[in-house]
Amino acid sequence: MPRGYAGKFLEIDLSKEQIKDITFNESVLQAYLGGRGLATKILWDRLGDSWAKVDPLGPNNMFLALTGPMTAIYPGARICCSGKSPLSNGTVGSTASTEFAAELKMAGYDGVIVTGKANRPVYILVTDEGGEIRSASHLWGKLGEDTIRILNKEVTEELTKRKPNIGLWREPGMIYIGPAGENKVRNAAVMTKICHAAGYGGYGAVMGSKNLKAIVAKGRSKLPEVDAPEAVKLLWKEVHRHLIAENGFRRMGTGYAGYSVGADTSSEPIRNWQEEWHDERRFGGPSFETRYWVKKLWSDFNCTTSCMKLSCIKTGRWKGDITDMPDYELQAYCGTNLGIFDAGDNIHISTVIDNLGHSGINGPNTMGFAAELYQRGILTKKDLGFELKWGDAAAFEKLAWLIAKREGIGDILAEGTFRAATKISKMKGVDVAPYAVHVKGIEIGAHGTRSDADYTHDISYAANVQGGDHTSVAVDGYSELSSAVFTDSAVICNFCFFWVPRALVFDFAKAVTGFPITMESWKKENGPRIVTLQRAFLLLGGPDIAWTPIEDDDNPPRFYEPLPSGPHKGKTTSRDQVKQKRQVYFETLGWDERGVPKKETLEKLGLNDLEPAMKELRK
Amino acid sequence: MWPEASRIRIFMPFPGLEVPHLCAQCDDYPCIKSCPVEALSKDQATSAVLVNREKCISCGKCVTACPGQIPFLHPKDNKATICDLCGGDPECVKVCTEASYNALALVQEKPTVDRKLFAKPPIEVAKDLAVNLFGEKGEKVI
Amino acid sequence: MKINIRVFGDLVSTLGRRQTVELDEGATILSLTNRLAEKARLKRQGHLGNHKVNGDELAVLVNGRNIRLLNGLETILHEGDEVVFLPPAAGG
Repeated sequence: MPRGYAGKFLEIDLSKEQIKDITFNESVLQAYLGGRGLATKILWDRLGDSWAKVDPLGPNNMFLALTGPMTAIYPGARICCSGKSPLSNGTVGSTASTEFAAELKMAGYDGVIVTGKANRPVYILVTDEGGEIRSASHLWGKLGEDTIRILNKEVTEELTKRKPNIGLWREPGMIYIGPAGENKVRNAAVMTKICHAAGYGGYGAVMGSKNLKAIVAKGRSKLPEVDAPEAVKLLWKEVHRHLIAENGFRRMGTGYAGYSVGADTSSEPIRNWQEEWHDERRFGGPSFETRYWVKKLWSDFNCTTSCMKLSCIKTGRWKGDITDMPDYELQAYCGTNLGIFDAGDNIHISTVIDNLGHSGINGPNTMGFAAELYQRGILTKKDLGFELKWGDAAAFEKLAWLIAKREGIGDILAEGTFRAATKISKMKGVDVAPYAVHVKGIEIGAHGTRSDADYTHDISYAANVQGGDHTSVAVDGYSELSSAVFTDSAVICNFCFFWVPRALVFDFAKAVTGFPITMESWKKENGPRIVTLQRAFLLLGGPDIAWTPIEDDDNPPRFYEPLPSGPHKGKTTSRDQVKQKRQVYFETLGWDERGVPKKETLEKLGLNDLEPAMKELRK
Repeated sequence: MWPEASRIRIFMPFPGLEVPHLCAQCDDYPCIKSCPVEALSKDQATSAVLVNREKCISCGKCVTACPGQIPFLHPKDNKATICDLCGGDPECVKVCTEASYNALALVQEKPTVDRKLFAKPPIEVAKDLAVNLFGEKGEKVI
Repeated sequence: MKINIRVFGDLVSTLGRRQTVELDEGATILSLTNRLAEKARLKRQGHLGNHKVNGDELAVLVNGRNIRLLNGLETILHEGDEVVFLPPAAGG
């Protein structure tokens, strides 16, 4: 019996309203662990045969919310959402920090797997008694804050009714969608705890396409048994010791970076990436901290890194806004990328985005794209219904709502930057693809490659099986396979992982599961197995598009324009570097010169059933 | 690791409003008075409430007697569960201090401080906290 | 022979972003890292800054290939090779 696992997964068919408990072979769990890895395996087994035909927004797609064996036991509990991505037609292991992950395991479940489509808005409730489908008609259309408030009350009241004498019921954990997900905005996020999001991949839209408003969990059991309890006790203390010692990061989180990433590394998106450097010193950390941060060490289940900060605007135009920090990504995307350099305006856009259930990165990427088209006179006031000037927070708020509700031009922009660009090009008779900043449909995180001074370079996104996902970039096809691919599958937080000696993390993993988990095996076997499957999904694609090897394994046109300003002015991504590093990357993973997994690689990784499909692609 | 069996439980009626919920050792010990089988008693050394698990009949009267509904029935055997101050050196305070949150402290309040101010249902505490953290907006989030 | 070095992350403050290093024919990654440590007056054996060379965390790439897939610290360098030092990093 593998340890660290609660021991079963909940499978719900929303079309047939069938609910059952399922399990997986120990060998599968050992190879894929959970989260991203296990989701990839399940998706291949169930949808692999017809992958190209599966409509990500149709009833045949699956929505998975999985934990891993280390979740809630190792610091930094997270949930990993997956399914066929409406953006890339591949898969992403999209994670979010949330008590939901711990509650799910305490209720006795390692994950929830949803198929089909409900015929009216529903939410799923998971308790020690099992899973059930409940009406969400009263929740459909509600913003994030209201959804939490209503479900907290409703579920605790219901559980109190069912078991009245045991004392107070604590609030459940939950993941939910906002209006953006409900209306199938292609890059909508799965939200949790007002400001946390499983943002990459568009899985909010997948939930919306199933009429699934939320999944709520409340359990009262122990967290799962571990393989070596005494060892885990010691390692747990040791890991926490490392996290608590990270004074700098604890104090600042990533919410001090809104100025420095632009100023120091020239890799911050400014006005749809037209520049990557700015000198707006007022956008520095203290401008947020002094006026807006109300809780300076804020975290989630079993996390002592506490990099989050709770922000609130108490006066003025945006009075009442509540969000986190914002973290660097949203400082950039809900700020500098929209030409916004005022802390209050930035917090406001972040709050609007969170409440609507947009992804804080992907949503504003599309908004920035629209604003550049407005700047260039390609989209007009007539198209939008209003002026969309850089820095105008009220205008961007309007646009965020338009997109979330798919009204007017919002209906086109709701398709995500890539598909919107295709539609607008046709509509206007102008090629606007040069202004679309995405890789394989997934909008790029707020770290550019042109200055080469940040951690993102030539192939970070171009060769990444998760496209523009900055949390899991391609490095050399080897060293990175024991970082994000591992943490997304063990399902733990990267910020409880990076500054902990790797040996300690992997000892912890072994002590919890009893599996022979090592960095080496993840670099050489487990990791490559997962990304090879993900690569296959990308190449199979469909139904609307399948990516062209090499051509689409590339950066967007904008990333080849020389930087127009700052200390790295004139620099740009090197096409030669991309070409060369991409070749090495493919080679290292055992893929051919077009990045199609080779036969011998599939054999080595035990993925022989991929061979017929890959053989077709090699022609 | 069993959060639901812990004698200190953290409620979160709204994100950001974390409320540690645990016994405040009321001066008049309404819980002890309410127990029909005298399973509850006062620890003379620490003033904490002690539960005799063998005697407890899981009736739940101590829960309703408590102004904050702080006791709860253990998820496994339904026995009343109340903070016993770990005999005088609470574990929760140690780790909270170690992690520099300093949200918990072992204190000896004067007799004039009403312990019942610390024994409130989490929602009541959260309503105050909400206004503290969020201003006017705080009145709308719960 | 001339070897081109590129450095990223927290090693930049110790080693600078780019440099060219002159080494004898047949020199290995080990000789390169020893030379770099010497130049930067780094005392800790087997480390560049806080990073153990050939440890699991610092990625050392020769022309894009991780040295762990070549010959580790004994990987032989050639004229014009580009060696990249990538401490683990990621965004958020």
